[in-house]
Amino acid sequence: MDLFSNLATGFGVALSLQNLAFALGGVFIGTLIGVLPGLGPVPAIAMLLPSIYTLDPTAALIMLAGVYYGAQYGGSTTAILINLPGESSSVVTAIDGYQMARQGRAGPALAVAGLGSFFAGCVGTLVLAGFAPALAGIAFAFGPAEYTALMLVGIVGAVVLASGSVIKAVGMVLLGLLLGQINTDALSGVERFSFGIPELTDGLGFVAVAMGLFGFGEIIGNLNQPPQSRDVFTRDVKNVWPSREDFRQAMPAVLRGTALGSVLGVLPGGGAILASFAAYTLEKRVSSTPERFGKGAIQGVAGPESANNAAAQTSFIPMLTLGIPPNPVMALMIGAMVVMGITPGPKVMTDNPDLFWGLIASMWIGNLMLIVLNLPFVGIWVKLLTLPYRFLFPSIVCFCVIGLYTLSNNNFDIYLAGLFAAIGFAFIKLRCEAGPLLLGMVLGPMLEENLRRTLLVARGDWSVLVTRPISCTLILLAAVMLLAALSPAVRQRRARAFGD
Amino acid sequence: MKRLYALAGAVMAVALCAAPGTASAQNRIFVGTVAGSDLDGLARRVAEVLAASDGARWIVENRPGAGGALSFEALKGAPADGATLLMAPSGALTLAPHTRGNLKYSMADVAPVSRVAAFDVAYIVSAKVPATTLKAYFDWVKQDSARAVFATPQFGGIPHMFGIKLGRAVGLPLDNAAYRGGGSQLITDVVGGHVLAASSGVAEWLREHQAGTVRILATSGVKRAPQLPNVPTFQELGYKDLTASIAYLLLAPAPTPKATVDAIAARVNKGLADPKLREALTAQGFVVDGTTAPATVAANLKAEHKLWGDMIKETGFKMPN
Repeated sequence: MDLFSNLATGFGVALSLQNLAFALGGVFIGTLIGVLPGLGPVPAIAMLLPSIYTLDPTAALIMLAGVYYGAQYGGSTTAILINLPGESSSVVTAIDGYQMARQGRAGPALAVAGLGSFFAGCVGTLVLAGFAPALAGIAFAFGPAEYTALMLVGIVGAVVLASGSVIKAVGMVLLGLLLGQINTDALSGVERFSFGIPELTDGLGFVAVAMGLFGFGEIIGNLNQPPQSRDVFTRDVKNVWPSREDFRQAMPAVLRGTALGSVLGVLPGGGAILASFAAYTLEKRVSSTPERFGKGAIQGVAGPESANNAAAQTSFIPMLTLGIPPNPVMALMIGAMVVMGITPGPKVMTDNPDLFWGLIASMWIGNLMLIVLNLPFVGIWVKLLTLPYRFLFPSIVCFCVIGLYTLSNNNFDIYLAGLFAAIGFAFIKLRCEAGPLLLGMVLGPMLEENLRRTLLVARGDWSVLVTRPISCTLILLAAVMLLAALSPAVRQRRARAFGD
Repeated sequence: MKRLYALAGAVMAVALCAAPGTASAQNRIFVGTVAGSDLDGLARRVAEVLAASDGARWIVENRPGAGGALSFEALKGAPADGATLLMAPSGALTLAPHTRGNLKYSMADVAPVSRVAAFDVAYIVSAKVPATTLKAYFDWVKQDSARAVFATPQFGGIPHMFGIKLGRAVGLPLDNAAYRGGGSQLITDVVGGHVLAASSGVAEWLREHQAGTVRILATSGVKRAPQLPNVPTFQELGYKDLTASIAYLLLAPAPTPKATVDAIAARVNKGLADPKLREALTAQGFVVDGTTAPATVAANLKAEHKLWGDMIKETGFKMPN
């Protein structure tokens, strides 16, 4: 079997002392930037690049890859602990993860997120090793029409995310779509709703809005409670490790999330984010107790976390097999390969087998390192939550503001987060959930752009959306989801859940 | 407890007062994009070259926003002592002032230091298009008006204007489908045949061209692109006026003394002569320059500014705001 001999070569390369050290360095840096709010893998890798040009290409790529999937791992930590999604794919994790933390179950949430990520990372790597050439074609099957349909599924799915009333969820999605309209229109160059403020012409920054709505809004909401009830959250830390029952519930969610993430990760653009909340939607659909979602369901953490880590792994497929970057991190890695004299594309596998298989083998090792690195930390993170509020809150705000400033070295993002903190507090008072709003804000512009591009290329013919098989299937799926969300049976079940 | 807060307050106050002082002593290169763009990557190379030549620290400070306009505003507000520079694409100075009505900077605000590197605009078709030459492609487009669409990485950029110019030269108006800042979706859409043609910078398409999934029909240089010796230029194909290039420039604030500008230019251009650096940048799709004197760079920019101005007047193209 070719695969096994190739993997043996790969492990031979990845297990050398030098490459092990670089893998460890990469995942360590990745974990750090994942945990620090605001700082993402792209600027970190851009800053690392000049110093690695002189390294051996395999070692350099092993490290960069480690930074990338390490950051995916770390991103869930703040989402769970302090309701602060560091990037769009962990918005979904925050929904149930933070509720678990409030119930004193931060430990199990973090552990399940970590173990789920580990499993998904390993499977994603296996998919990468075994099916890379076969899956690479998926990216090309998706044109503007298919993306339009995919985004439509996403936006309809965003309604399902909310645990409260359907009307409120629809309202939040619509509000998110409207906020997404603040930008420069991609196809015509029109500045929309920017009111002459140059910073608004690039759209509202996701991180600033998410930090304001989720993180800061939640902090204000907490301070709004009388001190006695505030302390409940921190003092009531139950077991640090997941129970047998937790594992039983999380396991199928991890499997389904991994499968979804492995496929969607191959798509350029919104692969990881769509994967994570497609997984959440799926979990809520198949669950026999959908009313527990949004109130600390462990499946709501396990599914999306597995999905976005599997997606992080399979997003290497278009990069390694075709030389096409599905996201900015992969674009940087391609740049690094070019500078080091390797031509990214289908020939990497045959011309540089050591690099290709070494990188893949290193991902298993890296994932193993991550779980070893992160599990002992779970206890420490949970302890952090028991800190008195007067220390915890100012430090969170301080770190967040630093993170916000580093986004574009501009105070504007900090003011924006401040504004959305007030809005987030209002949402808490009104019992509206911000998750659907954020997804509407992210997916809306993508939907609009792709729809207009579809029509432009098709010369205004709307029928392409239903005559192309993939987009037709996706549109039908969206229609079914919409009908299901509005059907009396589901409404009743929701109403009952909400009444509890 | 109160004392602790007071102490913390004092520390913060000191830190805040100290911050502006240290910031001005720092050597910086502004970049109008987020970290990770090719412009940002080149700026980091230049920062290394400068640091190697004077032993000081040079950092790249990303000031994204408003299509790079914020980085120009940051440069305008910076002291003109040679410690603060800006790396920007030439189109921001030569094309944007004609198309965008709300710019708060102009050529008068900058003193060009070096033309670090450049690349041509390429006209690319998907491998699914049955045409291997520019002429065959336009004959094929003429058969069906639905084929007269080209994609660009961004609305209103040099590749977009170049596509309009090309359509006019051929007598076949082409519709534009713009993407948001280019990136992979544009490439996958063209490779997948969802969009059949694109006008875009050469650098991003070299690999696909070599792999045969797209065909670069012509490039916009006066000479052929060094990475594409077999691809003709538009001039060779008989379109005398169809030339354009996208240059990445190092700029200083306008009031910077000429001697300071010349000294930095000498250091940067000397560093750019390093064959290893040139080779690495060429592999990335750049044509490394670093040989043009600051005064010549400025004069060429003025000429290019006028060319785009004439073209914009002729076509009546205007950004909506």
